[in-house]
Amino acid sequence: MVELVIKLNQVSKKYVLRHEKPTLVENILGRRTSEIYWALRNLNLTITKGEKVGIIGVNGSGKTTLLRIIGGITAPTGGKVEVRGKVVSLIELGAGFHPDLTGEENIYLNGLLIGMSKEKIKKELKKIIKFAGLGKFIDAPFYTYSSGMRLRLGFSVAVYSNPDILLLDENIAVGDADFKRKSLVKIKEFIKKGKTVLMASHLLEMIEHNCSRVIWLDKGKIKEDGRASEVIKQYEKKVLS
Amino acid sequence: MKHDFEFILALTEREIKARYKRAVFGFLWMILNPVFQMLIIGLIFSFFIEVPNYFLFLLTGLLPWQFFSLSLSKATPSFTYERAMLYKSKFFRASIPIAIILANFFHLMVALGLLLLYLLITQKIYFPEILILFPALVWFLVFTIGVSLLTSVLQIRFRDINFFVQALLILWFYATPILYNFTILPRDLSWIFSINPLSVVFEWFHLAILGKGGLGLKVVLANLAISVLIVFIGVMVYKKQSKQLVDWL
Repeated sequence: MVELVIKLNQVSKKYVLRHEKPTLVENILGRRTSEIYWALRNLNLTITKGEKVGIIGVNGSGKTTLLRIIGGITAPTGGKVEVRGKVVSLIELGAGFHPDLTGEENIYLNGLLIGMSKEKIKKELKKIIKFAGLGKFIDAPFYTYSSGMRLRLGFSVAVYSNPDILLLDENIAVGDADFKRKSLVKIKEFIKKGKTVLMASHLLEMIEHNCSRVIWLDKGKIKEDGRASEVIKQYEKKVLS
Repeated sequence: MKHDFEFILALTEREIKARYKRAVFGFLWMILNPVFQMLIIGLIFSFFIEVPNYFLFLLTGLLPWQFFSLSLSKATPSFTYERAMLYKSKFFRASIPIAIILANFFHLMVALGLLLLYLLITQKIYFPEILILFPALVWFLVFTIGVSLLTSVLQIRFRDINFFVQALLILWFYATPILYNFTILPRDLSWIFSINPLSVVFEWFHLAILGKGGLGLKVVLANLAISVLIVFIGVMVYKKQSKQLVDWL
């Protein structure tokens, strides 16, 4: 049975571009320079359970905005968004840690941040630590971690939160070669388990390899939506030529 | 709901733990700071201001003021500091400023506890006046959260709000009965106490600990109305913006 997990109906997102950070004083003095910019315009999209969807498009075409709206990180200016199931984003992996707390304390903080319950974190704690490969560092404060270790821990918590929908971008291949391989295996595992995966990337090869469906965004609208190989072929012809 | 609560507690714990870990004296400073202030202000102002038991009077006001001013100055820029967290997931946004306030509130409670312990041994605790501490603390906490929601959301929209808050805190300190109380204020200036929503809270602290203080019903009602209005505005502004905070970062 086909089960809809993501449904966007006439979704638009407007940003007000400013050339500097806004201040109240300028606002009162009436010195505002701003432009309106539509990151998404009247977008309709349905994604069913278990689909692997790649999102491609040039910079500024709305890929990130689309993922943010699906992830509930920002609200659309207009239109309706329905998302069923738990969404976890692998986009800000290094965020939500505190430098003075230990690895273990940070796992609790980070897990709660992405919507895990305390019991669930307790249950998965050993697996998270093992997958991140932190070893003895787990009791050391976070500021002693290398940047690779930080990302590994972020990735590890995210995958063990058991999401229904996974959002990724091209930064997904993180850490050293060994961890890169491990994380790609984990993502493949998700795909096999029938989880819905959305990937926004410029790495066309990776998208073609992992996705069955590709959406090509252009200026906030869907230009093409179809089988991965076909859409990518058209995209390459248009953009890369 | 339960999850939001767990998350707020975890963030609060983080705030408290981080303070302990950075410096062994992290907590001690929370107490020493108002005590030093009390000594210096007390030495000078006790010549001009005639309030009985002036040093204790000062400390009774400086402790809650430290809570308020630290909470507000840390909570106001909190969304901009934690922007990476906001981009990461769709959690209950108000958790960030609320956790900062709760961590400071925890320190206030410990400091008040120590003060009461000291008074119990060396002087006396006034009963039933001490009971007014509970409504004062609840009012103070809710008000601080309301103001912080307002300033922290506005700080995202207008990056100079924090400067206004810093300036406001200095003025507010002098408009609040901390260095002086109602009895030494000239009659035609007493309206200041009516429009400053913190005057009743601070006078209740004085009443609870020194057994003397408090303000008339009219001032209480005026303060309460202004507090409710500010908290209401804070919650409304937060509600309107909370789903798209990241757009302005």
